[in-house]
Amino acid sequence: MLKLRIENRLPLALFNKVHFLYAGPDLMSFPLGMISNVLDYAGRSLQRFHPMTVSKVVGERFLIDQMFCFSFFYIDDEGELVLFLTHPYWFDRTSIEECLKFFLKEVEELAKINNCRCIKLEFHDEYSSIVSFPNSLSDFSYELSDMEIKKQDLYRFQQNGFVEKNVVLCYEQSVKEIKEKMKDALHKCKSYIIDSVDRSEFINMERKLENFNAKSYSLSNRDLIVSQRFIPSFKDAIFVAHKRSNLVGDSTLDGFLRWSPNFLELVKKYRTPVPYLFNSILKNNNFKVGKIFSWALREKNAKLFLCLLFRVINSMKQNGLENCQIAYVDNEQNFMKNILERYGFIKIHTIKILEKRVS
Amino acid sequence: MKKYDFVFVHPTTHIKTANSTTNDSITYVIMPLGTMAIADLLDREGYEVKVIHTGIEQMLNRDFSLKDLLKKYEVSMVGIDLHWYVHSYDAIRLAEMVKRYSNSFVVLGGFTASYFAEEILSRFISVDAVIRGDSETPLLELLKHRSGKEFNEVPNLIYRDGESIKNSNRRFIAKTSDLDRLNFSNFTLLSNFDKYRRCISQFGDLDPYAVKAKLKTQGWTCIGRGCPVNCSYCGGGRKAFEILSGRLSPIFRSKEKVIETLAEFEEMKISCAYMDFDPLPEKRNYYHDLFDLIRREKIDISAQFLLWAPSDKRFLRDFRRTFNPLYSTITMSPESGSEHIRELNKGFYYSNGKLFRWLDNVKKEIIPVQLYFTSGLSGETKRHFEETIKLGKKLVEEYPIVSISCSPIELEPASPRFLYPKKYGISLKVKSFIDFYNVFKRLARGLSITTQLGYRTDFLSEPQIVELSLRFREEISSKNYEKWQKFYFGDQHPRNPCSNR
Repeated sequence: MLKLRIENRLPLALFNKVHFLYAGPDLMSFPLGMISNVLDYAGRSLQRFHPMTVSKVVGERFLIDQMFCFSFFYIDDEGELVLFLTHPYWFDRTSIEECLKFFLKEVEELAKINNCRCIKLEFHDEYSSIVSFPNSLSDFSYELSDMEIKKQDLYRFQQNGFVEKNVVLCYEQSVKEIKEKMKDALHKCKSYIIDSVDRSEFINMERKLENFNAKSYSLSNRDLIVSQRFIPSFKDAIFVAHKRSNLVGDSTLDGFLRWSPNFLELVKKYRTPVPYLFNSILKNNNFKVGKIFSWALREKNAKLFLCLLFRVINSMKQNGLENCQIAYVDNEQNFMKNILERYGFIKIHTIKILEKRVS
Repeated sequence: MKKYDFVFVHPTTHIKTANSTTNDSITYVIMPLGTMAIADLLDREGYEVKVIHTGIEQMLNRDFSLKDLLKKYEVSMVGIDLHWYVHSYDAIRLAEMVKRYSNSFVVLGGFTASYFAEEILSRFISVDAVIRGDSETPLLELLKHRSGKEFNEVPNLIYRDGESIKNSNRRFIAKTSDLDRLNFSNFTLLSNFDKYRRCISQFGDLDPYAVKAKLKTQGWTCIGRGCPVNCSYCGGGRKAFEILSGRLSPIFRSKEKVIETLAEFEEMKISCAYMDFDPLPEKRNYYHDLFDLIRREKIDISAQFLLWAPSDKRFLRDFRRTFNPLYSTITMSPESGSEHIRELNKGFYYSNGKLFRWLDNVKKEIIPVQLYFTSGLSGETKRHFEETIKLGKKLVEEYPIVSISCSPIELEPASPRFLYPKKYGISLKVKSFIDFYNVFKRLARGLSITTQLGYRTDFLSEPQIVELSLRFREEISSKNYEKWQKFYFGDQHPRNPCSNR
């Protein structure tokens, strides 16, 4: 009979098979083999992260790893504790059904002992092109081109009680093409003041997005560790928009776009899952792709979006980037999908978010 | 009743907290490297052997008692490792328990037991013998000669003979060929090995309630024995080895044997090999050959390598090419920011300039670094320690440092400072085994202790030494906080209020 075991660890082999980048809390401790972040929920403190590996036990002491899943707890906007599973990586598919059942049983157990009633799963359903960092709803982004995505895996989760809840998209267009297509839209930007701000100025604005009609998909706006992405601060990374007609001193934010270069390029080039530790490589790299990973508009206003996008594109061009991606577009966000398609953006990545309630 | 010829019992240090409702903290849980190797040697020679880690057993069952185990097993001989002085009380406590509940012969081994062998035997009737120094062959011989009580035939043995304490005339100092007979990774003999593998962190914690998500598993690798130099504070330096085991120079295990260990680690999913043996920093050919072999054998493992002095670029390149980068780090212990103090205390001296040049190379090779500093070094004043803080701040700001720590240096038996306190400008507060024993006995009972470090220096009192380390940690963590704030939030972010202190 197959003997399986689940352990809290991240196997070395994972990094050989698929490059990944960790950009979450306690990043410095990652090379030491431990990361920590404590979540306070219902009067209890619990460890947020659970890097889970399922292995076959062979003989008395040897293990053959079957799958890995980086998972973590967070508190959603309704105040409910959720256990989030990132896309599982399969090292060995020979006993996939048994391993998955075993894994889900253990995961449900973990959820229950922590009074968690909801498990969510991130599934990279489709991708084409190079999907830039960040490409996950977690702090753990895989180089998706190294990964083998099997549709069958999605059905397996569905057969085990997971239900599709959201679909989140990422689009791409070449910087050169967008610039070309936007030429005509430029004169319309006169009605907005677009400023580049740094993260310290932006942090307070970012927390007041409740009334915004269009914004990037996020697991939670309430849990700061999930909502605040750990991305280095650099010049012209965040552009904010205010209506020009506003009175002096009225700093009502009308929209923003925030982008990041594809740090996964460094992971591959320098073989490190924590490129942030090495300042010199961050500065001296010629990135090819940039991604708008956080965005919000007070009104569904295409003009406003284009004004912001124009500044981002300029910044990307100045930094020598070739392609621009925009991520975390909810599939139901037709307004955004329409603008992007109008400007030649092509869908390159689909994340499906599945949910299972734990009784 | 299951019969065993030999049971190894690993003690852990218990510290009772002031709040009596919480469990004792169980600390210093890593087993000396030799324990598993000797257990395996006895096993291969046909003896029934078992290794019990009392900390692991207690973690699995808070009511665990050696007494219950002794009721289940009939054990001919019990070996307790007393390598590190922090186990002084717990090792004797276990020996007393063994004697109370069984007829087993009790033998101790390890550095601390070796150094204080006569005193231990004269004070504690529960201990029948101590093996001084290398103990692989002696333990085999002890099992052979025990029934005939021919203890004089057992090398390195010091034993009780009626009212007197006797030394065997025979001597054993392990050579490379002896180390190569050993298998350091036969963990099947350790009860609940799997728990040990999963729960031990590189910091030696064993905390069932730890709020850390563990990514890696760590294995300790035996590369050799001995040291060519004397750091003032180290109980494992050249002089200590000479006293404890008669060893005058370091020996290396053969590279092929190290490879065997690493290959077994890989199969057991031990992801990081801890390597702390660098006695020839001027000539690291052994490592170039070993790394080459690891690459040729395609062993996939990370390493935490402790360099005893800065390396050249070639070593760093080789390290980088050899080990999986996921959990690979290099550790260096400059100990002090003051070159003068470093020179006074460290066996391998290097200047700050050399340290910076080395770190520049480390940065280029994309290797994360761990650094260790200390307070209470011989000759160190508060002024010298300011240089340590200054250096620490510069390092965290400019280099890929993943861990930087500073702890007060503790007094180790057989260290030059312990042997020649006057020469090293310190006054000892613990001088004999019973002093160490009493400190840890009081800690285990939740009582206050009169000394934490075991000494004061000519320039600093014990509280001052403790305070300096604390200050280093505060100032460095504040600097680190500032660095990362700047990294994530840009220059404009308000400073951490602590940094103004």
